[in-house]
Amino acid sequence: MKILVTGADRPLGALAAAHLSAAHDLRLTGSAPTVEGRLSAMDYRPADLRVAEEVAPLVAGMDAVLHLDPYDPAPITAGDVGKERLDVAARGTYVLLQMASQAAVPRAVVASTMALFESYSVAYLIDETWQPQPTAHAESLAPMMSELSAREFARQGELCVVCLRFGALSTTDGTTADHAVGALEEALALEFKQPGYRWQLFHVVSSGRFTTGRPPLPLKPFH
Amino acid sequence: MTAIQNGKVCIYGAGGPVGAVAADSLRHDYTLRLTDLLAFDELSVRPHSPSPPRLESPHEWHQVDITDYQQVLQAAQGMDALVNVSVLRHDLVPAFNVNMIGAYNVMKAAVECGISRVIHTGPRHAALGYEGDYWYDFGISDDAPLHPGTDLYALTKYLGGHIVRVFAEEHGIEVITFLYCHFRQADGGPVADGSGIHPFSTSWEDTGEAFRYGLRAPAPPNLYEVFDITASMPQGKFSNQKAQRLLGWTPKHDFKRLYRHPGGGSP
Repeated sequence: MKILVTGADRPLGALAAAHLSAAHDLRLTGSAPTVEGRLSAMDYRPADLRVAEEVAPLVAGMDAVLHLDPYDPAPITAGDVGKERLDVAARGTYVLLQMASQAAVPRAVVASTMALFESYSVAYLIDETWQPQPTAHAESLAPMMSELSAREFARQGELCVVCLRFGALSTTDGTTADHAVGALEEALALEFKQPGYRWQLFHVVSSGRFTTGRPPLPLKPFH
Repeated sequence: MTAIQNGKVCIYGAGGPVGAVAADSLRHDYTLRLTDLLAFDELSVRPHSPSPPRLESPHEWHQVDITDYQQVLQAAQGMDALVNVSVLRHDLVPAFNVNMIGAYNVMKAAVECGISRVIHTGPRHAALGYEGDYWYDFGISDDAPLHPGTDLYALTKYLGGHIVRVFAEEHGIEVITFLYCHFRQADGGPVADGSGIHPFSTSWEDTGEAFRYGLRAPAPPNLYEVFDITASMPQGKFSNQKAQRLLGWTPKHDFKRLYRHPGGGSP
């Protein structure tokens, strides 16, 4: 499978690239000019996902897009940080999926975060049926902007989208690397029956407050 | 929160037609700070669309770029309420900046200035051309979640609305959101009797009046409350009952001549 991985310059993207490269033909992108270590030998092309001219060649010929950037985007250190954060999340996702749709890429996997639920009481068993409750800060709102944008591409039928919400990576209160990679692999292979939903949403949580008693894998729709 | 019966109101996007009719409706009871990206004399006049009135002191006109937080904040200072009617529809970067970031900036400024009532605006797109856009449904509630699809204008306004809701609920700001679809002149405009009309249509005059009711309404049941601002249309798709019930706003114009057979009889 030919897969574009965004956010490859970030921990989740790097993890995904390292694991998926054995079985797939990967093209990596991120905002950093270069990537180091094992990934430096891969096809890495820095890009601003908000710019269609930069995204179009990235998605050309791909079978799927792994949009991992929304989970843990690169820090913004200059200018109006909040404005930039929201714009990267929303417009970046919009342009990426629009270009993917135009290139007839049939599937996207979007990574988001369980941090959208931190304001709920710890007493609650949070699953995919709960409404995200970000705080009124750009950093918190941004992943919701990515999710909502991606959701509309699926709703309109332009491509199938799997949204995976991860906890903090490899911590005692989050998502293990194995579960994260396993969920990405399953999301790439998930069957979309048509007629049926073109949007699927899964919480991938290994431990901590957001566990529900349901194992994080295999990905199983909550219907 | 008490209703805003008088005082100072800042309108963002006052150079557009909705801003124009809002200013015209509010100018007698409120001191207005009208803001737009353009200077007043640079505004273009569009046929069949209202233009903002040239208001004298104590009203003010300020050039404000709604995508620039410091400018938005400065305009909000000293105000009792904020009204955001800014919009850009067709160009990628400005659409995200104005419709989403602009909404974020206005709410952030409301928090910083301690302003507790905001009127936010946006579209209820009725026919976006895909299953799930409600076009073939009836009895569509004001509270039916928007399904903007990938239409740039609809989606960016939708994202802005979500941001506004989060701010409202976290900071206890009463946000009244007006949704629109089609605007008409009060007489229906330069079209023939019986030529038909969209099931979500509003006269410019009624559009403006709604802002007065929005500012004066008692605290709504929810901090983020959405209202379809439509005339009383007979098709049964959309309704103004919620706006009548909670705001006391009743549209005066119903466009009967457009949805009845010409001459008043059946064909």
